[in-house]
Amino acid sequence: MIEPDSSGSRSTRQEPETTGRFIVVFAESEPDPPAFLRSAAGLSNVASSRDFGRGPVDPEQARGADATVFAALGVAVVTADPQQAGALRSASNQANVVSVSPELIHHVLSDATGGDGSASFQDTPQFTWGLQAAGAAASPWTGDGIRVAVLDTGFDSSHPDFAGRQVTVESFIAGETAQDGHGHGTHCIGSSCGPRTPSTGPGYGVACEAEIFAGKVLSDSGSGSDGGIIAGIEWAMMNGCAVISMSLGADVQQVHPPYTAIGRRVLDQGSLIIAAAGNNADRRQNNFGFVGAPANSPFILAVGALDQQLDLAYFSARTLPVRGGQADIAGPGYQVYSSWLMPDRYNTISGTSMATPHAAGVAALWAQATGYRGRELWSVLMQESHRLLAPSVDVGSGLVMAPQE
Amino acid sequence: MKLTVTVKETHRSTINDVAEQLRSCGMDVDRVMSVLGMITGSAPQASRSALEAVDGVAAVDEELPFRLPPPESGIQ
Repeated sequence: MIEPDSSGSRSTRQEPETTGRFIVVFAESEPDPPAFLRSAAGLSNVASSRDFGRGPVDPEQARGADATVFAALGVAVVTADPQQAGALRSASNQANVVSVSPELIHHVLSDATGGDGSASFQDTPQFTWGLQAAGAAASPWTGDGIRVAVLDTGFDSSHPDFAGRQVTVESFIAGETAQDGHGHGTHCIGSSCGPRTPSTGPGYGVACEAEIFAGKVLSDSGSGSDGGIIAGIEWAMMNGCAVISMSLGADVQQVHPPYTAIGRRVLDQGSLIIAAAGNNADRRQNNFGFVGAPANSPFILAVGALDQQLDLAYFSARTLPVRGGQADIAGPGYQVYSSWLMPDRYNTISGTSMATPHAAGVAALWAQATGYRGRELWSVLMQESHRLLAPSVDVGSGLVMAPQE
Repeated sequence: MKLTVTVKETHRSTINDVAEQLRSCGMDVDRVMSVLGMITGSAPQASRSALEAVDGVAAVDEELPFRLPPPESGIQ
């Protein structure tokens, strides 16, 4: 758990209003919920939605009952004294009942929705702010058994934080080995797959037990082109990588057709490409930029960058208004501490390039936690992301979030 | 110029035949990628329409360059 005083918190919790009744969710295997309520909790007057035929449950009749069972949902609303509630709760430890919860009072939502105005994260001696914000610091999932490809400037194989890790390297740059001569690739591999408990300094890696495939598709000087990038994607697919992280982009407004076909074929074959939205905005000057290639392809997940307050980083590119041009999700991408070339060892830099490996690492955690691949993995990342007040054209479905217990 | 050829889904299993046809139309093929159904290489501008006409070719696109900022840049 994150201590409230050691790091930012996302919201202030309020005690919910309750009715005094309980909501019981039955296991799918429970054949006769009304009979169970009678025998386990001693409830005598149990109404069932089946009693009302195909019509809706009559609220007047339901009000007079100790319990109303909604048979199609496997749910009951129960009026129970403490002893009866206790009996139901102990049943929830067995096979019949999934949960017993207080019935909440719901209100029409007001305009004051609240949000992340109070969010503020910072690096602590234990974890970077990004690992805290994305829920990776507290996640029991590590990416163990998942292969993650990072297609970038290669990897510094001499980095001590990766001693003992399974790292497969390959260069797609003529005349250069996979050894990182820039630093960018080693930084991205650190955020996506580096350690959570390094020997020195804060933990900075999301999928800290994933198997790393470092493909060098950008040269030591930082340049590359389709030929090497596509070869790197092919290599990642042949090696069964569930997640392919690409912190690279060209500032072109057109969707580049090859990445549309590639993104779709990669999803069809059960993998997922995650790419940087781009840094071509300068919001301080009211320049919102646009999502470039390859992230603007419809089947490639585009990642924008957030700062420690979960506000959009000023350079993070906005949705390009064409099919596929969305910023799909956002990740920690401002003042990100991660691994760098030795002997420097660490560096703190900003960019959608840094947000992307956070999202890729989280994708690996979800792949491990759910077994999902391809489109299902994409879907769960969207569904589980933490919604933000920022415009969807900038942050998509919000802050990428790791699976919890 | 450097090119990326997208091979039709229907021709992915016979991608080597497509590559052979591209070679005969003047393309210098670098890589044939059967998992993705892509072929990369280079060819003179003049031969582009001939490459596009090869059976099994979905699209021929000019290669896009990518460049990172230098390592000392604060924004990457």
